[in-house]
Amino acid sequence: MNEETEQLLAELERIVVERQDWLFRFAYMRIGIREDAEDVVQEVLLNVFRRMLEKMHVESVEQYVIRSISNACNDYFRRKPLRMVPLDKAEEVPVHEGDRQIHEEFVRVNKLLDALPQEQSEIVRLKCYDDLTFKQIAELQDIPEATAKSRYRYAIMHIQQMLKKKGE
Amino acid sequence: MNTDNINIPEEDFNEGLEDIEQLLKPQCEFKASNTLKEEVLAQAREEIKPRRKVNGWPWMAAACVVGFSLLWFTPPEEKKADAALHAHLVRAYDMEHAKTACVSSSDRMNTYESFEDIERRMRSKGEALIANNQPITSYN
Repeated sequence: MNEETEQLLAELERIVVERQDWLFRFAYMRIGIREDAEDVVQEVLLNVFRRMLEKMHVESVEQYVIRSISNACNDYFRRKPLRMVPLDKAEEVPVHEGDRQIHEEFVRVNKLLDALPQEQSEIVRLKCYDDLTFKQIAELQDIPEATAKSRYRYAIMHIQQMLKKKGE
Repeated sequence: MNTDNINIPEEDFNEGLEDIEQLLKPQCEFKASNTLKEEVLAQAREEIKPRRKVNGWPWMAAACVVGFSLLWFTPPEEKKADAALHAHLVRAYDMEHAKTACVSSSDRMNTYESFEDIERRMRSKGEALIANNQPITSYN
């Protein structure tokens, strides 16, 4: 193994350490199954490494990682539509004791966003849960930044109204 | 419904915005398995392991040479059939020829004699007979 590949492995290790929990949260909040979410994360990180090996120019590794995990989650649902967890059944999904808390979180957030159109709920997830900026969201969704902001505002209003109704 | 360009009053939007955002923020820590990092690095190492390279092109070149040689030295099917037919005809002609010649010269059963020789021989015999037996009468 030469020095260059050693450096690439070290770079990969750094990315894994820094990003694995964020990537796992991103995947888990959409998939709801730990094993599958980790498989998706693993595949994304290996794709990043392959890119590095091919010396392909990746303008921003950060943006590439975000786009990869988003695409990987979409591909997951395209490949395994039967494994999607319906929200009303999500609470019944058996989880390890250690995962009970994150599973409850998955159910809680998805219940809040369930009534929204998919394009809005995804923007809220990206903004609030994944902590992306509107610029990053716009790039990821291939939409103008103003559209991303508008969808977000509308989604928040929708949730406000929904919560008010529940309160009444 | 296109909701991309809806004008939302600022005061309505800002009211309770922070509460909603707070509600939608992560409330607990998400931890990937301890083995995830090891698995990713192990697979990455596996991908950069040098693989034995099999040089296939000399074998391909040799196979091509053999193929071309076979094509070059194998006579075409048509020519083979022609040659066989030719040989057969020659044999048949020779046999026919020999039989005819033998019939024509029954006194020489075991010799092969051409028609021209037989004709020449018969002609000379005829001439000799004519010379020996002059006609008695003339038409003058």
